[in-house]
Formats: sequence, C-alpha cells, structure tokens
Amino acid sequence: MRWRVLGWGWLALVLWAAPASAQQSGTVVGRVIDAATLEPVSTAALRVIGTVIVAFADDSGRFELRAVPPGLQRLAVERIGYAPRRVEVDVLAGGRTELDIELEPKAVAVGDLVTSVTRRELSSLDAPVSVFVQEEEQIRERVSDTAADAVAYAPSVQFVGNQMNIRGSAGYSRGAGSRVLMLLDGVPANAGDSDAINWDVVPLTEIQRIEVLKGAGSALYGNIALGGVVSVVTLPPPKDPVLRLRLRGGFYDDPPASPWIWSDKTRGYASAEASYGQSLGSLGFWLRGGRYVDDGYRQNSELERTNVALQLALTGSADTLGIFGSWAREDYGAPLLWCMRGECQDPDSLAFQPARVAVSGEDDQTRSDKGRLHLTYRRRWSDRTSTFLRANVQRNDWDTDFGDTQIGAKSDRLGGELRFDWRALSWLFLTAGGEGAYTRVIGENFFGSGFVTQPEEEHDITGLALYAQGEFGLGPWLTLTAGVRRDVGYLDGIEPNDPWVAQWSPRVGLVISPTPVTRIRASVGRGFRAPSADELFTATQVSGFLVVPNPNLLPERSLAGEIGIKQLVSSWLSFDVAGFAYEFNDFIEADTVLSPLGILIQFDNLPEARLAGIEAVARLSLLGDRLQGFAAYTYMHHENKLTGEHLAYRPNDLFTTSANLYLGGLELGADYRYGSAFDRVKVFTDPRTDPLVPMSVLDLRLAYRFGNQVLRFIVDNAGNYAYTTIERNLEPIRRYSVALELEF
Amino acid sequence: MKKVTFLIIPALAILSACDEGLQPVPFQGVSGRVAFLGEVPDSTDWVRVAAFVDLPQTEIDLLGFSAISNELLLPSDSTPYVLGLDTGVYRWLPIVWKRSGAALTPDALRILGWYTDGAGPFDPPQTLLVREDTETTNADMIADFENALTVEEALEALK
Repeated sequence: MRWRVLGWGWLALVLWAAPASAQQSGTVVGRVIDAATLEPVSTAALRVIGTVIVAFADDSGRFELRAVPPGLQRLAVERIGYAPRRVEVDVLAGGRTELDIELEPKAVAVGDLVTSVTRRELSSLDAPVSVFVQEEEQIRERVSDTAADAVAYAPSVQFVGNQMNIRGSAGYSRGAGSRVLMLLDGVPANAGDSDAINWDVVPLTEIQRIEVLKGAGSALYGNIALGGVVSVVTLPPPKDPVLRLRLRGGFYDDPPASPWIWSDKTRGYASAEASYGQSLGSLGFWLRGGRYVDDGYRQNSELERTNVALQLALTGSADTLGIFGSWAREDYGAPLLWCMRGECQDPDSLAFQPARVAVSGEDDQTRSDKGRLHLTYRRRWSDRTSTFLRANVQRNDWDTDFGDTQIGAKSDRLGGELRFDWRALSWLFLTAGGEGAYTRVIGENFFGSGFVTQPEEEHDITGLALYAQGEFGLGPWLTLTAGVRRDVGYLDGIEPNDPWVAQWSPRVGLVISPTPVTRIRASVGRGFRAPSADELFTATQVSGFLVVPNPNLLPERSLAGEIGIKQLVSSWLSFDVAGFAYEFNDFIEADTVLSPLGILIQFDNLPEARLAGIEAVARLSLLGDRLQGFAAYTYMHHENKLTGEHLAYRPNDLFTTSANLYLGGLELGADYRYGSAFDRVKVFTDPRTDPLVPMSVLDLRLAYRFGNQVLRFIVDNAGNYAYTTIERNLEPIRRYSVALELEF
Repeated sequence: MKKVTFLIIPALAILSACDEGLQPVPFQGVSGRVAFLGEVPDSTDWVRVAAFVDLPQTEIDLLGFSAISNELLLPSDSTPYVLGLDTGVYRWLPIVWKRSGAALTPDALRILGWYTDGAGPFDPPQTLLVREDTETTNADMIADFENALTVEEALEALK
C-alpha cells in the first residue's frame, strides 16, 4: 500500500514541477558547422551538461534546445567524424540565445575523454589499452542503486556476487581482496581491510562519467589495479544554484517458480536523493544526501542505506583546491546461503528454496560505516607544467551478527600523492610522482592464526611507490607510451616470512593510425598485488564456514598484454576488437575443502595461471542518431596451468548489448547481459542440487522528459530469470521501478 | 539489410538464452525423525546422520561415507533430519556423535544408533533405496546416548 501512496505522491510532484520549470527556462538555438569547410553538420548531438536536455542538429545543422535552465550552461557537442566539444553558453531566462558551434573534423568515431589511462585527459581513441566510458546520462538512465549497476553493462565486465570482474580477473572471494582499483576523482577508494570496492561511497547523483580501464594498471596505480581500474569522476560544482531531487521506488515480482514464493507481502523499495550545488565567487560546492530502503526480494535481505557527501572546489586562475567528504551507513540482512531441504519450512519438498534462508540465518545482520575525506590540489605553473597533490583518509567499520557469532573489522587508511606533469617538448609529455598509503586494520573475532580466532587482532600495512611515464608523439601516425613504477610494501604480522615486498612494474604501449579511420593499439606490462589483510589473517567460523588464515601468502604477479584495433566502418557503424592475455604467478585464490567440520576456506597461491581472450565491440547509430546502441562479445580462456583446470567463478562467454531509441521527449531503452555458466565453482559442486546456469538478464527502460524533469519507468530482469553467480545465492529477480528526476 | 542483420543477431542471442535458468528441483534422499534416549552429554560437539553404500569393515571405511547431514538440533526428545542422496541402495545410516574440542578422529566419535529393521537402535541395519527425484520419508531412528558404541564396537556389531 505504501508503495502506491508513494507513486501518487510523485505524480503530484510531476504535475506541480512541470509548469514551474517552464516559466524560468530559456531556449538555445543555432547551427553546427564544419570548422574546415563551414558546411552544416547534420545529426550532431547536443546535450546540456548536468541536465537531461538533448537535441540533434537537422540537415542544415540547425538545432534547438528547449527548457534550458537560465544562466551559464555547458553544452557537450558530439558527432561521428568530429572531435567532441564542450561549449559554454549564457542562457537568457525566458528568451532565445543564439549560438553557432564549429566542430573540428576528426575522421574517427567519437571518442570519450578519459583520465584513468595516463592520469591526464586523453581521448579514449588514443589510449593504448581498452577503456570503456559511461557518461552521466547513461548512468542516470539506468536508475542505478549504486555505481556498480552503471558499469555492469561494460564489455568484459561481470559481477560475481558483488565483486567486480574485468575480463575474469577476480573470480570470487567474498570481497576479500580485489583486483580492481577504484578511483574517486583520482583518489584511491578501496576498503582498507579487504581492498574491496565500496560502491555506496560514490555519490550517484553527480557522476560526470565512469571509466573502466581494462588490463593491468599497475604501472601507474600499483597494488590492486592488477585487473583494471574503475575511475569515477564527479561533476564540478555549478556556477548558478542547482537543486536536484531524485525519487525512486518500486517493487519486486514473485520468484519465477510458484513453489519458491515465500512471502505474501509486496516487497518494495524506495529511495530519495537530493543535492544542492552553487558557486560563491571562486568557491563552489555540492551538498548531497540520500536514503535507500529495500525490503529485498528474498528472505532476510532487507537493506537500509544512508549517505551524505560534501564537495568543495576553490578555483583560482591557475589552481584548484578540492575537498571531498562522505559518509555512508548500511544495515542489511546477510544470510550466507539459501535454504536447503530441512533447513527451513518447505511443504513442497524441494532440494532448495532459493528465496528463503535457513531458520538459523533468518536474523543474520550486517552494519557497515564508511567515511572518507580527501583533499586534492592542482596547480598549473605554465602551459607546459602542472602539479597534483592529494591527501586522503578513510575509515571502514563493519560487523556482522550471525546469532552465535559476531565478527567485524575496522580499518583506517591514510594516503598521499604528489605528481608532476610536464610537456617537455611538443612531442613529449612526462608524468612522474610518488604516493604512499598506511593502513591499520583491527579484526574483531575475525583475525587469528591456525584455527584460533582472536577477540581482537591488529595489523599494519604500509605501501610506498614512485612512478614515471612518458608519452612520445613519434609522428602523426604513431604514439608511444612507456612507464615504470616501483612499489615497496611492508606487511606486519607475517613474520618469520619477509614482511617486505617490492616490485618493478613496467609498461609500454603504442597507438598507430595507419588511416584516418583506424587505430591500432598494443600494450604489455607487469602487474602485481600484495595480499589484503583479509586474505592473510582471516580466521573465523560462521554458519558452517571455517576460514583459516595463511600468513605465508605471497604477492601475486602478472605479465599482461593486449593488442586491438578500432575501425570506423561507416557513419553508422564502428568496431573495436582486442585480444588480451595475462600470465599470473602466485595467483591468489580461495581453496575450499568440504569436511564434516564444515567448509574449510583458505587463500593460497596458484603457482601459475592464465587468462586470455578476445573482445569485440560494435557500436551502431541509426535513424539519424535516434537509435544508438552497442553489442559486445568477450571470449575468455582461463586455466590453472599446473592442473589444466578452468579457474572458478569465471564464464567463457560474455555478451552485452544496449540500445536507446529517442523519439522527441520519449526515450526507450533496453540492456541485456549474458554470461555462460561457470565451468567450476569452489564450494557446492553437486550438479543436481547446485546447478550452474548462465546469466541472462534483460532490463527495459522508458523515459519521458518535460523541461528539466524526467519521469522514468524501468523493469530490471524483465524475463524474471533465476540464476546465481555464487552458489546458493539467488541474484535479483524482476523489479518494477518508477523514478522522477527534478532539477531546479 | 546489413543494418537489420546487426539488430537481429543480439535479439536472437537474447531469445536463445531465455529458458536456461534455475528451476525447482525435487529433493532426492531420505528424511525422518531421530528420537533420543538418555541425556545429551555436555561434551557434545555435534550429532549427524551419515549414509554408507556398504557396511564398513574397518575404521578407514568410515571415511567413505556418501553423505552426512547438517547438525541435528539438540537437546530435544526428537528432531527431524534430512539427507540428500544419489539414487541407489544404502546399507548403513548411522547416527554419529562427536566430542567437542577434539580432532575428527575415530576416538572422538560414537555411534548412537542406526536405521534398523527392528525397534532397537542397534538392531540389524535396514537397507534404504533412493529413487530418482524421490524423498524417502519416515526413515525414523533412535539415538541412544546411554548405550553409545565406540567405532570399534559398532564395526563389531555390524559383522
């Protein structure tokens, strides 16, 4: 009932908001022209940055953007065959503002600007490695719960449980250890104890873009970036006051099989997010807050999340000081496994009940708090030189109540970095810097040695690094990138083993442009990752799982290479095909043994492992750019080289496709993800009671824009397809949502 | 035509993957109740039901169990149990007790009874047939804490 009340409330808000916005807005009209020929450019896409307002130039290059908020606005202008541009325009309230925009011909498909590849702004076309970008509008149109939902459709990305895999690098380790580094505005943001990505610390409402860098990023980013980097870039504060509200709500369908229905209540969710941004002279800020409440689609999966964030930017003529602080809390049910026969009430005598949990796990609960504060300072000393300085501190604190056992951990991480950028010559750009991080982790009934768990145990981890990289423009058709990084780390608590670890991580890449519509790229580099505190020291026994520490774990090392080609085939079609390979030494994986004592888990080194594959992405733009989409296929081969067995929790095939159709103010969209069934899992391997099935998820979207406001309808997992990515954990079933985005 | 082809391929891929998801799976195995005689010792770590295809002849054979249940709920007069099994014939379903604080060795184990063809906990073992997709119900047993057998005694009793 409360979900229906919420829906009517939103409709009332829509009707109230629409005329209010129309009164204050302005119209921007003009032409898009070719800078070389001064001929009109048709079908160029124009978008008011920070809003959902878009328009396309007609055959004579003319465009009209309606209901644009008054004041200084930034437009993004893109067209296949031209370099993307960002243009500022002062919009008259209630009036028409005229603007002509010149685009520079660039005979390759539109490329997004990225920063994660080389730590400076660069077109993704000119990157020597594969990088995928989700822009602000693409993130907003999916009505994501967290930023993880926004990158789940990136080619070669798959989530196993809540753990991000890029090209199958990570497998599954219940968050203990990550091979993907998260950057928030260039600042590392992985948790201190597990190195896991905490998606809820990312402010969803003001993401400018998310970049997914595939392949080892260790040469620039060191530890954790062994499998790739996810870089979240937030929107800078607006010049004029902006208030944004995003209200969402919906409900879950019943599980697809009637014997699995476990609740006669409608399971719903609702969330409200608000942000306010303004600039006062040279000081700009965003203040954000959000609250999310979810009944969950399975038993004991209720979730409550609250987060707040404040972003300050002090901008001078040659420098920018940024401060970002955020805090997030989550309380959620945390059953480890679904109910097997005999563990819960089941009149249907089924082998398992995927939406129920064992009676013993009905009250398992986890609470987590995550706080972070980071400071960044950028100074441009001249047209050729600049520096970047950062300092960051973060705390993660979680505990889980399993009824008979309470476990938890606290971690504090301090970090800093100083970097110099220098365009030494017109054809040479140099980057050099150093960074360090200190982490203190305290386990509560979570760390220990052997089979003994200590009520409280503390460990310190310190890492220092120096890095340097050069980009060499060796001609109009060849760019070479070469870099190296030296990491040194100290792991307290692994004595008598050597607590010091050290690694050189070199990387070299090149981009060749044999024709104006072709880019060939190649890169090879070394990567490394020191084990996380959780992988080294976890010693706990919960719900039949017995985790045994392994202080003898060695750092894992990799040699990773990629070769790829981007090709603009025609005005409506482009391809990107890449082959990749990783050779790992001392690859860290969880070993499991089933015994009458329970399920024994210990992290161990596989002496040699291999990941290799091909990835193909096709992008289409039809009907005068009104139908846009992409399809991506990845084939992966993965093996333990000693045994020849496939690595666990990794598919062989991944397929992703996404399409959007724009019809005036109406927008239709669909996203689809397929992952072949895993060949191997670690714990429950009986094919009868734990069948391995493919992932096959279709999401549908409908949006209607009126002025600055957007009303969205979304059906997640429209096929109500039941599947798992980790044993005995049902992934989300069909969910219907409605969302309203308001901007004033 | 080429443009249409590029749209059809993803659509076919989606359709072909629609019917491979999880489906309800009937339980296959045995279930029943275990009735307890005597007091549950304070030193109890767990009590479980195990299943053996053949009667064990030696202590080593005890490691060859086909399946073992979750821990039974204690203390109570009787408690339900379920044990998922492959299809086939099982000749011994013992109730196994383990002492707390001890490693999992034969010394730490006691046999409290087994599935029998009579009324006593240690009567001759009853053979159990598990059919495909079928739950064999009411396979009740008695666990006798007062007269628990050591592994050695149990092996002797089975001869």
